[in-house]
This record gives sequence, C-alpha cells and structure tokens, in this order.
Amino acid sequence: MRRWQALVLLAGVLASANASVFSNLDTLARPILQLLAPGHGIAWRCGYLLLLLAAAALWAHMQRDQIAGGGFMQFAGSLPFSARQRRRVDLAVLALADSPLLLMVAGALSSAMAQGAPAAHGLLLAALVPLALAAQLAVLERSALAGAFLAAACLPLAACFGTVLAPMADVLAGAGAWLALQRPPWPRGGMAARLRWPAPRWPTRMPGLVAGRHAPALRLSWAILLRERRDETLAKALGAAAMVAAALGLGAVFEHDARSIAAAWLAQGLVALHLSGLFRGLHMAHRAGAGFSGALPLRAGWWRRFDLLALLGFGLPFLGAPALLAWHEGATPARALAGWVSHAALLCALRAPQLASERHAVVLSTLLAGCWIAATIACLY
Amino acid sequence: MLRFEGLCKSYGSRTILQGLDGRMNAGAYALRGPNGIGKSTLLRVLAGVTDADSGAIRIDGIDMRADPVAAKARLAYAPDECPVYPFVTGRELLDFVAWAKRCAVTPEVLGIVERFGLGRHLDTRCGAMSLGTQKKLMLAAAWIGAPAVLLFDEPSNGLDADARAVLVDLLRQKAAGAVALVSTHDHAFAQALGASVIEFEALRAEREAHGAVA
Repeated sequence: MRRWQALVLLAGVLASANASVFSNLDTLARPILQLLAPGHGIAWRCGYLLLLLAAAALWAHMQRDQIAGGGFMQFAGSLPFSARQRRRVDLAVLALADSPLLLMVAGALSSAMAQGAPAAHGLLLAALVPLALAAQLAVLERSALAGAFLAAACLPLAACFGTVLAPMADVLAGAGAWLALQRPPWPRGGMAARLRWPAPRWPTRMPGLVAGRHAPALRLSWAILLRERRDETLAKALGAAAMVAAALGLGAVFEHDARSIAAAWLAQGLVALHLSGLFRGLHMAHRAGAGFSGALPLRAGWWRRFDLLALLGFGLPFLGAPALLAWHEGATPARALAGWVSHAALLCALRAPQLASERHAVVLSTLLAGCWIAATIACLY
Repeated sequence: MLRFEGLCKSYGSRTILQGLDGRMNAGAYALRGPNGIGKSTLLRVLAGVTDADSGAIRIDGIDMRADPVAAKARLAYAPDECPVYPFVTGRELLDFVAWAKRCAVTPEVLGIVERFGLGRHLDTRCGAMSLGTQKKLMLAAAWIGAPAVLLFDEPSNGLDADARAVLVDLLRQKAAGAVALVSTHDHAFAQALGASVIEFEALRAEREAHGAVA
C-alpha cells in the first residue's frame, strides 16, 4: 500500500510539472523500455535482462517476511492443501506485492505499442512477467537451480533480439517460465537440495563501534536494522546508492554547472526521505517487544534517540556522498557541510511523520521533505 | 513489599479486573484461578506493562503511578509468552536488561545462567531458541538488579524437570527477602515452592469484605 502511495505521489508530482498521464507511464517504464533500445550487443542486453530480473528478485526478497505470511502460514502448512494449491496462493500474493512493478510493465507495453514497435518487442516485454515471477520464487525458495535456469534463458533472448528468431525465443522463454511457475517447488532432497543456497548468516555480534554506556540499547536498534529488517535495510541501501549515482549522472548531464550542486542537495533530501521509511520497522520491532521491555525501568519511548542514532549512523555515508559531490561541483566546503547537516536533520525530523499516521505517512513525509529540500536549496544555492 | 488497592482494568466493555486489593510481604505466593479470569492481566498491570484504569500499586514502597521508573527498578517480570526481541542474542538481552536497570550482570546472575544450562545459548538469537530456553533466559534475567518483587506468569510452563528444580530452589531462596508472586495451574510446583496460595477471587472478595465492614 505504501509503495502504491509513493507511486501515485510521484505521478502527481510529474503531473504538476505538466507531464500527462501517458508521459508519466513512459517515465515510469523507462528502465524497462531501455531493454528494447537499439544499438546494444548481446552481452549488454543479456546483462540488462539479468539486472531487471535481479531487481524483481530483490523487490520480493525485501518483502520476504510479508509474502511468507508469518506464523499463520506455519499452521496453514499442516492443513491438507496440495503443493500446487500452495504454489497458486504464493503466486497470488506475489502478484499483489508486485502490482506497482506490473504497472511499469504495462506502461512499457503500451508505450512500445504506441510507438509502433515490432510485435517481438511486445512479446519480450510480456515474457518478462513470468520470468520475473520465476526469479522471485527462486529467491524466496532459495533455489539456485531455478536461478541458473533463468540466467541461462536470458542468453537466447538477448541473442535473438532483432532477428527473425526473436518471437519464437520470446514465446518459448515466456511459456517455459510460466510452466515452471505452475509446477510445485522442487522436492527437498536430491540435486535441488544440493543446489539450494543457504540462508545468509548475519553477525551475532554487533560491530565494535557500538560501545559506551548506552551500547546495549544502541545495539538493539542496530540489531533491528541488520538482523530483523535486513532485507529492507539492504534494499534501502541499494536505493540510496542509486540516488547518489543518479545525482552523479545528472552532474554529467548538466555539464557540471551550478545545477549539479542543486541536484546533489536534491539527492541528499531524497536519500533522507527514502531511508526514513526504516523508522517504522524500528518502531514496530520495539512495540512488539513492549510486553517484556514495558516492565523495565525505562521511560516511555526510550528507544527514540537510539533509533535516531542508529539510522543516522546508517544514513550519514549516503548523505555524505552527495555532499562530497556538491563540493566537487564547486560548492564551498561550508555550504557542502551545511547541506549535509541540513539533510541529516531532515532524516531525524522525518521520524515524526513516518510514525504519526500509518495511512498518510508517505504523503506527510514527502510534503515535509519537499519543503525542507526547497528551503535548504534556497538558503544555500 | 507489594501492595495494590482498587485495581480496575477493562478492555472496551469487558471488565477484567474490578477493584482488586492485595498486600504481600516477603515470601512466595501462588496466584490461582480458572483460565481467562485475569491472572495474566493482573501481573501485567502490577509490572507496569499495562496501565490500570484506576487503583494504586506500590512496589517496595514506591508508587507505580508517581514514579514508574523507580518502581520498575525494584521489580522483575517474566510473562508466560516470550515477547523478547527475537533478533537479539541471549547475551545482548542480559546486557540490555542490566543497562535498563543501571547495573551489571553480576556473577550471581551468570551463576543462574549456568544453572539453567544457558551458557551455550548465550550467543544464539532469542528467535532461534526453543520456547523453554527463552523462558529460562527471561527467568535468569529476572535476577538482574536484585529485585524486591518478582512477578512470574506460569513460570514452570515449558521447563524441563531439571530447570524446574533449579527454579524452585532459586525462588525459595529469593522468597526469604523478596515477594515472589507466580501465577500457576501447577499445584506440585506451588507446593514445592512452599507458596501461600491466593485464589484470584479472594483478591476481589477482600475489597468487598472491607467495603461491607466500612
């Protein structure tokens, strides 16, 4: 729901800049449409296809707990449902979780059709849906075998692109992935089990830098980020890194003029907004433990400052990179530092709207971040 | 050491606690009553996890409403279910409780950890421990900070025979100088503790009797 809110908000912002709904779809679908761009070789297209599948897999991975269904599904596992029925339920949940991504694919399809692209391009985009779903299931089931099959399927798709064999390759790959989705998961024994990649091991001890009198409480907040919500934290880190990379790219587009500095500050604000979503997970984890910690001699909301410190520790490097970029693009060190401090403060300030209302968190946070970024740029530009 | 008067607690239109009174000095007490009567709610309210709608609680002479932090520093609570943070290790949990109580994990507590056989589980995450191991960890953590009042909800549930014997021994020692109030359906456990049995209904009747006299 929150991702849909973000998507609608983004479309609204683009619409306010006089962009029509169709151009919004076009903008949203650009990462997928890039797959159809001419002038690239087999290796590039195969790599890009793998990148798209990896992005889809990561999307599911960061929602693993929600998709898995929690404790009730452990009970439901004892009920007499067939493996095929369970797989259908998994797929339905996955499709629901994927709905914002499916909108992107639909946008890419409609955009490609509107531009009169060959039918083979449409088939490739259509094949992308079952391939992405299969990649997500491979990640959720930790099946290296399925992952290897999918990676292998990308090669003929890339090799046949733009040739007369393209439609056949697209249909075969899409149909193969669709059939793979219908079959029950691999049995636990045999080769499939040997090729099942192990669940990642995460450190049982927190980094040495978490020391001092309040270390046990700070360690708790770090443990939520690095163990309890590790998939979300990883996704946030990748998202923040992508925003920093986008700011870097915009600097090149603007030929390193003064706009590059504003782009760096904008990226800082967006990184703060993006990372502030982690406040909710931190808060929820503390609330879940309140049945025990509530009897300890601590003030109400004792975890607030430790969550802030943990998230600042996590976010400062991502906020620092655009500050270095602004400095590199010609901002004075004092201004670059002021931008960094301002957006670190924004990250802290965003805790309130993120927790104030579950339903309106995205809208409230975006409004605050938008005003804050505008004020920062107006003061420092 | 533990005193409460006129405790009331409702969830919506459902009244769970209605005017409960109690006064306990050092010793072991076993709270008894049928399922769903409100034993766990009473212990949660006494521990300060859930706020009472009305009434007063004094832990070792400190008013829970006036100074909850000081009052909670004098008590230890182990709920029946284990709502401990599943992502922290046993060692981190003990450190956290010690931090909250502004004290250290003493050799006495480490001795209790060893007696419960928790030593090899200290670097395991709570979420990966069995229910019994989690329970033992919470019980061991209860000895941190030398509490004057121990509130244990069904403490013998899920414990193996050895751990149960250790708990009985520990509680008997502790009850010499502190209040150990346990809710339990386990008669043998209550007997082994040498606990005074308190019927839940009696807490209400006490108030009504006093009210009638007044």
